[in-house]
Amino acid sequence: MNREEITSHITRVMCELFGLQQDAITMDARLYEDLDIDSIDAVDLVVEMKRITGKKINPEDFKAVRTVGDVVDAVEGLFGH
Amino acid sequence: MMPWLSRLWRTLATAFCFAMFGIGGVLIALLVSPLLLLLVRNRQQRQCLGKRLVSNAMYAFIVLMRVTGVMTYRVRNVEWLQQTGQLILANHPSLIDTIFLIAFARNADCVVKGKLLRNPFTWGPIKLTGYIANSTPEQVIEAAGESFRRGNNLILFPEGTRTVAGQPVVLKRGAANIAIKTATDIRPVLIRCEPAALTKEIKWYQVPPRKVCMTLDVQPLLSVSQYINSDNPSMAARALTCDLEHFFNAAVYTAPSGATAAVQANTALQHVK
Repeated sequence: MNREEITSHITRVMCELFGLQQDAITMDARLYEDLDIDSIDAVDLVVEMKRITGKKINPEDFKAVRTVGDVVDAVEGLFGH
Repeated sequence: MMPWLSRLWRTLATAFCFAMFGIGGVLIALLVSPLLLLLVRNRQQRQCLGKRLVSNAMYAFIVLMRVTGVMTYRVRNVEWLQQTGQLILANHPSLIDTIFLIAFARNADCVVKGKLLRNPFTWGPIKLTGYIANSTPEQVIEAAGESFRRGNNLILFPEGTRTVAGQPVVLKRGAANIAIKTATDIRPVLIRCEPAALTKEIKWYQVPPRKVCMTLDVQPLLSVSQYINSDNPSMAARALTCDLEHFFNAAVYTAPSGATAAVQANTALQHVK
């Protein structure tokens, strides 16, 4: 999966899971402050990302995630780019 | 009594009551806890006993505030707080709300912030009762589920902090997440404290011109079944939080008694009993 594909997956998942508008999900958008995604939501997000990527995800890798861009980076890291 | 004299008396009485509260907390830490630790070896039994003991101590404190003329109170439908395994959600106008809920609810459990565990007057009772420490959300949800299974009532202020008078109630999603993930019905309690006292802004010694009157209005149980069956828990938690917010806002600010508006405002949420 390349970066664009990862980004579009993440955007779609966030819209579906948290009822967000697509244009609100920019790379700079902060999860908690801008998108109202709390730590419980983040767990659901990780579960969903696991399903899509088929990769094992260590929740610890997502501890430092602050923005949508960070999530994309973390998922990209799983694919070893 | 002359107004200034009444105020002076209530200031002194408030100081006395709070001093007694502190002494009670220290006595529990130094005497009661070690004694129970020796006598009751089973931790669950001990915590259960501790909860009952702290509940009675809170009730004694309320009686002390009443007889010294600091405040009066009224609790409507108090028997509903005697049922078990409920998530008790209340608005939070004053510092003493918790005291009332712990005093009147059976097997009352609560989530306490870390600061109170470092306070010499409160850590004794908290340790004795096994109240849930506010750690990570996942840990709190798990501990809450365990608490309900033991038949406790978990008290939570879904705003996460004290209600600011005159401002609409804004809820965090934690309470909804706990209700949904543990499949526990909600027992709302509407609290009124008149005149405003012991808020975040008003210090204990700024005694109001009139004696404080606390009213606790226990509401019918709200079913969470329609939220549990959703295949998207994140959206369900958002929907429940939104519905609860409407419920509390309508009830707290429109009705003189709280009761009628609460029922009318409750369109989305379903009463069980």
